[in-house]
Amino acid sequence: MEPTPRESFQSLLLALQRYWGGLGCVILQPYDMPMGAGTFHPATFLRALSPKPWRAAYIQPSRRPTDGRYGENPNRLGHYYQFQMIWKPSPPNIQQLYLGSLEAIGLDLRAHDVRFVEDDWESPTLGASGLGWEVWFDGMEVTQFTYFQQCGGVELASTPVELTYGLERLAMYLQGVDNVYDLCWVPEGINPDGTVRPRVSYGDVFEWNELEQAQDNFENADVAEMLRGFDVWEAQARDLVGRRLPLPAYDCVMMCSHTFNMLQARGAISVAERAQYIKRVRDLALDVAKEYIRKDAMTRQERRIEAGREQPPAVAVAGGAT
Amino acid sequence: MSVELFIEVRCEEIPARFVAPALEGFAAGLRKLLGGLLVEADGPVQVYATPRRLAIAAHVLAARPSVQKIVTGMPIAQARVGDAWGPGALAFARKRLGPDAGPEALFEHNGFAAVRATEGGGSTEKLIAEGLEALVLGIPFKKSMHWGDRPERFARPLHAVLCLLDGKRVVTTVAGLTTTDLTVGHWLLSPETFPVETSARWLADLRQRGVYTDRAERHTRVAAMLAEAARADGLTLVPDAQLLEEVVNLVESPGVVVGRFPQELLQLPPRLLIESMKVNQRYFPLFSVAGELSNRFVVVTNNPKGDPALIADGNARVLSARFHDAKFFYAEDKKRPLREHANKLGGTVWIRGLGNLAERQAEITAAAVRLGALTDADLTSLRLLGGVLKADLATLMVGEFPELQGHVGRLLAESEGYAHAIAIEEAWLPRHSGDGLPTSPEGLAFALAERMTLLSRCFIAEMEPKGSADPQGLRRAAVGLIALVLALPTSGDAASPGSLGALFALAGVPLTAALTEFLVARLRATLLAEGHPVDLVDAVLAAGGSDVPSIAARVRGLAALPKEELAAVRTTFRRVAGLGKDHTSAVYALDLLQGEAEYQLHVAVKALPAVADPASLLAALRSLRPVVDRFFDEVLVMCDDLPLRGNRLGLLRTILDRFGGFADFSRLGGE
Repeated sequence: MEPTPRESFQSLLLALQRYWGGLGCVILQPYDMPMGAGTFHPATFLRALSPKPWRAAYIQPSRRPTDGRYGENPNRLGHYYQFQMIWKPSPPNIQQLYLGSLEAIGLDLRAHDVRFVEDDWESPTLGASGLGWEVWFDGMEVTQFTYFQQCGGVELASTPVELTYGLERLAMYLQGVDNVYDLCWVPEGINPDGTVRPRVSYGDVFEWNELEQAQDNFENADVAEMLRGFDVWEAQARDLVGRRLPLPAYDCVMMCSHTFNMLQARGAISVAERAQYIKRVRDLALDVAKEYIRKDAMTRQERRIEAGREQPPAVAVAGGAT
Repeated sequence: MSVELFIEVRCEEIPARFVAPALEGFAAGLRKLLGGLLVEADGPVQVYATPRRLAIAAHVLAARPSVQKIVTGMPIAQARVGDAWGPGALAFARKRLGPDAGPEALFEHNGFAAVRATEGGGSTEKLIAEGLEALVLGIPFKKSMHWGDRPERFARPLHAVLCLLDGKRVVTTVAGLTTTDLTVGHWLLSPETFPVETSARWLADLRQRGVYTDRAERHTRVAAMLAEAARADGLTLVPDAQLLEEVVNLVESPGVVVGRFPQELLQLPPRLLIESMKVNQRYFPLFSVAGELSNRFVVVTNNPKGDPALIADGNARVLSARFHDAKFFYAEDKKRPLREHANKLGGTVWIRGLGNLAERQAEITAAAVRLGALTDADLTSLRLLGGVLKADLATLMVGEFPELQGHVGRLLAESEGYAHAIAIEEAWLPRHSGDGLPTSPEGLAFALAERMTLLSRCFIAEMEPKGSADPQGLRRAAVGLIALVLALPTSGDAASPGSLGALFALAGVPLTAALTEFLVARLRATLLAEGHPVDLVDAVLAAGGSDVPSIAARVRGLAALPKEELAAVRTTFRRVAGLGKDHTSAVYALDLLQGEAEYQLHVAVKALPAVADPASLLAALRSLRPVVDRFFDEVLVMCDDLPLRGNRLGLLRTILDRFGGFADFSRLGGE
């Protein structure tokens, strides 16, 4: 029998995907690039810019180099998982649907105290902001609940609602453990071929990674190379926007953002310079957003024509051909 | 006869701090919409709110009294075509009276085509149906948002609008929602809909479902529950009106649960524990009867039917995780002396272009030591504390809990045996206007030095506040500096600082003209905020100088005079100034003095003390005033005899000059 979301981390991930998938969300996979939060995933940041309806959910690893603790802190990780759901335009019963997801992972709402406490969200690097709450479950923040108002510096035509679940924290609560590394990823069981599958903990999967990544983030990463890298990614993003290719340009923006986070962890950016770097990333995000909106309004054929992959249809010349 | 109008707006959780101003705006909007239809004599406008609903009830007239009114259109010359009304005039009549209006409705009025229109008389229901959407969407919120595909804005997405006039639904739409006569209870405990007829029934039916919509009632209820929870545990609660108000606006069905965190975490600084509980979690910490912080706290929940043990456990886990983090940081910080933490300050920029934190610390300390004599501070302590004044900014603890800056430094310094360690924390005071001031002479010296150096450096770098932008908090720093200067000891061996120039010179801190002006402007604002009349403040300030304690003493002294005496002082000395101001020479000849009144004034002026302290000058002013009054009663200053006139003006000018450092009397106003 499959373990419940209270028993295994893996089951929690599956339950959330099943729940939101059942409500019509496209279940996507993590984007294949490092990012600080699930909002950076193109399925959220770029799709939010379009007036077209969109429902998607996915798990996204978040990399926070400054939060790395060499695997020694029971509550903090340099790499952790977010479950991200975006639904646009926001449906009127979204709170109800959200509460349904808590029940779907085994929480009995009637026994507990669930609260929506004001918490506005802002991502200066993405030029994005929204209004909403942090959802408290017996005082613990389990979800960031945001109605996006602005993205890439653009006021949005259709309002997306974004839900971000901090999965490790939720799992720690569900499993009643105080140390993230003690989380049960999957319990011991018998495989179909009769062999015994040993219990796998979160620590088994990630503790070594946390140690080495922290060593790199805090001690080794080459600052001069990264400073140069930032400039290179920035130049490339700008070049790609100029070539009207917002999707690969956005990949470069994410690299800029991640490089900036690494530089911060290395203590290479002073408080005063910090604002400058954030502005550089935001300026790029704003340019990408503008270009994305332009191309999003085009048909597939128009985009292929602009790419030179198709000939424009012949235009009938007034007066007719001879 | 009035009937009840009742509106309930339901939406997702409104931020607690938005509620009070939203209700005020809602009521104002309703008054504006209803105008004369509102019958407040039959009962006041009532407002209700929970996080998920705003409601308003009012007594209104069911119909508007109708009024006949003449409405004029174009000049008669244009309206007529020969003897008949032209097409323009007919169009005007149709526009005003409807499509059936014909030429018989038109007549001439004062040279214009006119019709008799009926205004008002429409039903109140129609007025409300037409005005409801603007009323609801006009409720003011500090921030508002779009949702779904709606163009409207509200604090959070709107769910439903109930609108009843005399118990019957007013049919209209608000943000695409058709009005309803149904409501719902608590989202979890009683989500079923039920019909509403009156506000009284609504209130009672919701109360029966555990939803307390009356804020005052909910306030009383929560306060009683908190007190009872504390009493049951044999503990006490320190009242916190602000937190209570916030919590009341976070729940619609209040319940309380007592949680506890591990006893050993009480080793952490109590201020950290208390602030984490209150600010981050909105918990009420419990104290022993003797006033010691206990490891228990009360949570106000929005689910009185929940499982108290589970809820307490969940909330306690949040605190424990946070406190365990803090304990770890604190233990790490304590492994090294403050001196070592201070060594890291050089690597942190203070303000771009103005140096790092190590330089900042040295600069404050140098100024504080120079100011030490003024505050009666122990100079050795100032030097020792100055070496670690900002050290806590480099600790993990302050990195994690920035609101504890100063406090952590003080605690670490105390544990290392520094004398007067409290000064490290007091250097941050006052953090805002109305905050406490340093109690130790060393804290006062640091607090003064901190602000003087900050202001001086920023003004020299031309970083003074522009418009509402004040990134370095210079206005707050200036107001704080004024408060600190006013708190300087005035008796004992300490010398008075005198002018701002003297104070800054003593501290060895440069003072620019722009900064002096900025500080004087803050002093003026401070004095006005104390409630002193603007003419007194301006008269004293116009006397020039920037001796803050003296200026404040003069204004306060004048303002404290009995009402009649102050009025007399204003009248008399304004007159002295009016006459004597333009007379350039403050000399008069004894042999030109005529009569008793004039001579007595000379005697009184001669007897004026040579001192310049505010209290003596005020006493002199008060004793002189009746003599001047008698002089004005009996002597004609502007007489035709020019030498006599000049002599009298010279006498008045002498008075003006003697009080020139006290106030510019020409600025005194009337009552």
